[in-house]
Amino acid sequence: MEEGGFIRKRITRSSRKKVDYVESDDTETDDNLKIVKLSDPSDHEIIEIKSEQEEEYDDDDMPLSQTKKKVSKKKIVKKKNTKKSTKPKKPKLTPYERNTLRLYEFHPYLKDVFIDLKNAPPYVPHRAEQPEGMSIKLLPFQLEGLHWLVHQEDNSLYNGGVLADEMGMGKTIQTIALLLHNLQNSPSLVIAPTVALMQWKNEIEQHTNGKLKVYIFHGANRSSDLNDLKNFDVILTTYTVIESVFRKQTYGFRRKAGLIKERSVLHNIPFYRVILDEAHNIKDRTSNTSRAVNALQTKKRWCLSGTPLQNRIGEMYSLIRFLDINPFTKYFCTKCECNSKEWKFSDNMHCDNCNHVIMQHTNFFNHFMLKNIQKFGVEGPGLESFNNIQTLLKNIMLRRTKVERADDLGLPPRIVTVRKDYFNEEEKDLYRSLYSDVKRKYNAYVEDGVVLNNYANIFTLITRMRQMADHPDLVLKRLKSATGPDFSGVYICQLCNDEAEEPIESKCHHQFCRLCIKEYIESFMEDSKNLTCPVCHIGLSIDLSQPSLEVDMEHFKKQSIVSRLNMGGNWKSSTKIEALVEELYKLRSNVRTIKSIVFSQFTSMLDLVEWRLKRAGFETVKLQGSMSPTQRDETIKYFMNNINCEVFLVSLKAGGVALNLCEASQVFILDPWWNPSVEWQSGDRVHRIGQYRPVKITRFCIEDSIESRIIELQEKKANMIHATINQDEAAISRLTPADLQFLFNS
Amino acid sequence: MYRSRNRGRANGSEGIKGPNSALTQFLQEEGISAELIRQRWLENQVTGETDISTKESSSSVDVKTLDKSIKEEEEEEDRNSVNLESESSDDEGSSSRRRKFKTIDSDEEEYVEDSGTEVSITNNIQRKSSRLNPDHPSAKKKTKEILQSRKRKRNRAADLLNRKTVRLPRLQSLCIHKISENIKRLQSEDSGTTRGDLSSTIYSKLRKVLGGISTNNLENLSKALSKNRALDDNTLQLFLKTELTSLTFHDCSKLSFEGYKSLAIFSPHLKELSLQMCGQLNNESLLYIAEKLPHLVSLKLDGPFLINEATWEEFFGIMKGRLKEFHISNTHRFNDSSLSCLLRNCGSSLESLGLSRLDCVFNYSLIPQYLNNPAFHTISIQYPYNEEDVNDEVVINILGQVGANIRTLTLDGCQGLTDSMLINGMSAFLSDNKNLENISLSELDQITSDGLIYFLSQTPMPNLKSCSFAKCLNIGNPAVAELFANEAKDSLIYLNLNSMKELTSELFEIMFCPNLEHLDVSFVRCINDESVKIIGNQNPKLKIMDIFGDNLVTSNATIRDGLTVIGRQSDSI
Repeated sequence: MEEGGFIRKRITRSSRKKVDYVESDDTETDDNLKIVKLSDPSDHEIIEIKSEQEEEYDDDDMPLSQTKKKVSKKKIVKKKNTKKSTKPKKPKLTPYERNTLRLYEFHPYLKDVFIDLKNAPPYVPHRAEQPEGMSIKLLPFQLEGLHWLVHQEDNSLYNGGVLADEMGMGKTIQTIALLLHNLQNSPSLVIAPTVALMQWKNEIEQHTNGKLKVYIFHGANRSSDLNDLKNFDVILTTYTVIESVFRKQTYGFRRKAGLIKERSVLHNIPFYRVILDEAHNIKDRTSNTSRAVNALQTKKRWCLSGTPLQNRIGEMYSLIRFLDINPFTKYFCTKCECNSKEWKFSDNMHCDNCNHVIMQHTNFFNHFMLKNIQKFGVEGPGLESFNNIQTLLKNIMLRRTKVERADDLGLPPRIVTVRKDYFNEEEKDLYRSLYSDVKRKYNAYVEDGVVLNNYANIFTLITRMRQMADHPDLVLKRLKSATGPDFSGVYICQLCNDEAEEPIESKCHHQFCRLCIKEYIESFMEDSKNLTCPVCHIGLSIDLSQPSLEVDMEHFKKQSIVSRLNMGGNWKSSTKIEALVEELYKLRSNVRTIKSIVFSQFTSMLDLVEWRLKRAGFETVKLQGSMSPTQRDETIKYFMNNINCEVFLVSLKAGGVALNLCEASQVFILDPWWNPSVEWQSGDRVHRIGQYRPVKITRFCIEDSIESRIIELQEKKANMIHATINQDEAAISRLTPADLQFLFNS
Repeated sequence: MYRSRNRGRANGSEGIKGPNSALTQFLQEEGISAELIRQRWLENQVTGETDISTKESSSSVDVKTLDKSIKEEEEEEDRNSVNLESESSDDEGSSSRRRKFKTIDSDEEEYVEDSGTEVSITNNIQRKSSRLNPDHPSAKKKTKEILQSRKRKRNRAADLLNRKTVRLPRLQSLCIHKISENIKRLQSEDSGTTRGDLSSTIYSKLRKVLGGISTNNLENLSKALSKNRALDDNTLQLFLKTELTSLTFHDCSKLSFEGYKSLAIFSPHLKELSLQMCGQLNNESLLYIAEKLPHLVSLKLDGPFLINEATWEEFFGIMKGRLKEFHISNTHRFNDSSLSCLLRNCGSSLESLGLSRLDCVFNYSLIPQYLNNPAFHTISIQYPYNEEDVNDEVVINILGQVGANIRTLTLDGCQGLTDSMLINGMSAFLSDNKNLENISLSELDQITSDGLIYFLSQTPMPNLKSCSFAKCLNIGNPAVAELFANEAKDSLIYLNLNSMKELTSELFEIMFCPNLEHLDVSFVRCINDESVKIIGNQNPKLKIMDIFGDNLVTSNATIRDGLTVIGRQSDSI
């Protein structure tokens, strides 16, 4: 939307000028009435809208359309007035209204768009039958969802829509039910984020008893043959892949032989339906990803998203554009009957179709829904636009929240607590020296008045302080490796978590002591084919007779922080890590097994924690952004199926979304994040359907560090944002100079 | 103009190829791959490895032996400190170390005289050189030993984590362990064949084979099943049709509502039922339990979040007059009206009431109005949703009503409470109560030393067994000293001082608790090696001491026989 917004603004500015030129006859009157124009129309607008609102509250359905008609009648009346050239009436027309009238003049059918939308039968929940071949029993609201999905596909003009149920309500399951509903309607393409890809595959296999044939279009050995893909019911792929194949097809890529264009297989299959999981991935409609999905050939289009409106209303447009809903995605000419879905101005001045200039074209969505909200917020004409959006969404979107469907869902309560701890003497010393250093720098910036010019610097400083609150090594070891040539790295065996003796490496790049891994392989009882890597749990392939690895300095810069630790037994833990160990120790009991997920945004922190926990006797697995889908999948499976594996370490960025970890019921968030909704989402990993244990989310906070300030800031901002509707979600993660001042003044 | 000299050749018949080393080329031509090597290795495994060794080249290898033996010594020392049986005195440890040194080759003596750092340096060099010739037999042996010592260390860390001090399990517990292990396997096989009736016959047979399992062992079995997350509708059969009067399941998350129903039907003698994490318990099955178990007087539920207001009302109606004990936690559907319904119907018969983490209960002031059973002995209010809902007045009223005979008072996480509750409530109404056994005031961050001193000086508690002030951040030395002066010190078994950061090490010099068995002083930063020693010596029965986050406790600490110190960093790093 961002870019779109800019374009719009530019056009409006220039169009105003142009309008004046074009309507040169009216200039006189315009000049005369300019003063009135400023005050008068707005008053009228407000009154008008108020009356509209009152009526809206009074009655249910019919009056809406009536009022709408009234308004349009009024407009028509005005129009007549203008034609009679009664000058005093004229100023009531804002540029918006004038444009509306022009649009209606050349495209009369547009008048009925919103009326039709409002008159459309409202959504009535209706339960579908439990689909055949579905092994899981759908919950009541999921059956309602299925009915709606089928209805949208078969009996409506939209050929799809947005399923926007809140996170953890089983959007995936409902979609699978839709896939199963009529097997003749295939193939389907599902585009999902990389993390969720395997989950899709597993869920489809698990819930359909293999009725659907699934192909994963991902990785180097994906098929490029059209015929290979024809026999599958469902093809799964990721946003990155679809973007890549699209780019190769349209823009080509450079090789020795010059520009090569590769035909994209996906863009040449006529799909029955395309489903975008986590559809806010295409929120930027000018991005290549959006273009790539828009270029797909399909009959039905679906978006799945728990948060369809993350920041701006313009993001919604990107979805609408993908769904291809007429006339919202079209550009209309205000001077003739020309309309088109594409913005075709080859000479950057005149429309290819009708030769009218740019500013005489307007986009339906921007005009009726977006622009006024941008201009006025949710009041006045903005409110009207806002209602327009609501009416449209009612027809194409289905959203149920957990609160509404609490009885159906049967979710456990969700308890969020903050565990507060204090530094010990040593840490406090270290932290203070860092803090005073940082504060001095910050004050210098303030004195020079260059705080915002040095935003990146200040942000880094704050990050250092946050890392220090996690563990001093995150800051110190980093500096050492950057400067000191004389540090000695060691390989850490992933089995005994100590310096590796005769380190050797598996194919998946994990190091072990030769003897440890040998013992591990020998002690495995079953078929050696099933042997998996103890770290990432994919099939193990290691050459036991390979020569030992030699210490390679270049290599160590990329290695985990653990390899830079002092293995001599003098390594010191930190308050936060010990607090986590204590919490986990208290969960240990001989009468039950409670599993936990640990989130941190610093991967080195996770490395440290993993190492510490393993040394303390916990069995852990770790999910990192760098892992392949298979590795992720196997790791998740291992955690879900292995009783003894208690702790799942996830980097906040890699596993914040689309993970389903119901076996765990405790969440620990090691470091506070600027945006609380990210933390909220991480809680959703365990707080979802199928969770029968009470869920508890514990956030760690060191009281005498910047973290307590961050949490305070979060709460302050959350309150502020709830108080004013106008603010968007993104404001919460923005750091203003005042916020920085707050962080540093303690 | 520059022209690539390769051009002519590149256009030749061989076509374009990427850069390959001669070795890769060779390997490819011969068809050798990593998989092949692995196969060959597997074959080798069968025939048995026969490594021909070469002579050891340097004396520094021996340093490794030394190093390793030192490590082993440390191992043993550490084990001494954990083990109940073995001797632990420092002198003896070091003397035995010296003895060990003597037994090793004579030419290593000179290294013993060396300082430790030097040894480690040479050792480092050695490690690298030993890496270069991994087939070296002695090097191999040594690395093996190092790895074994690491493994021992790891096992010890795991034992500490499980609070396991007894090395030899009893035969009964071994059996139960075996059963629970195999039940899991049985289940996974069973789910493959999907024959429910088969499994039920297996379980009934299992019961027959085991004969009458004693109630005690049934309890152990239920624990083991919960621990393995194996308690479901199938394994539930083991507990049906018994004469059990009291049953506790610690993890019922896999029991379906059908399971609860059959439990109610086939175990009619139950008087006490405790279902933890019972997320699938629904309205229907709760009413079933109330109707089919005529003798039920005690119910403890954790996480019954499916049960709604109407059902609670009906349930308390059925249980009217006979419910003596009711504990509930972790649900957001138990609200004010459910609470008032409970109190109206069962208030006069209740002897024990526990409310924890109830997100929809706000009106705690209802409680004192209905509790009028003179036998009332346990009140537990934990983690209210709003801290101001449980204020001083509410607690003072409750204590005024039931304080005279109460045995257990738990107010964890009621952060709205202040000194006023201590002075006007606890001091006023508990001073004549000689029965008080448990007090838990965790996470009350508003109470101060002054209030607590007043309470402890006014109230002799000769029977106090367990006491917790965890995370009461404002409480300092004088208040805890007052506790150590109170009569309670002789009866205390469990004491929790977690995260009380104001405490200093002098305090523990006046700590003499003859019966204390478990002490939690995690995140009390003043605890050091000396304190651990003093506490160990002055409290003869102390068995477990938690010291997480106490970074001043090092591996040099002297730990008395029979005392397990948990959370020491040096034990696991």
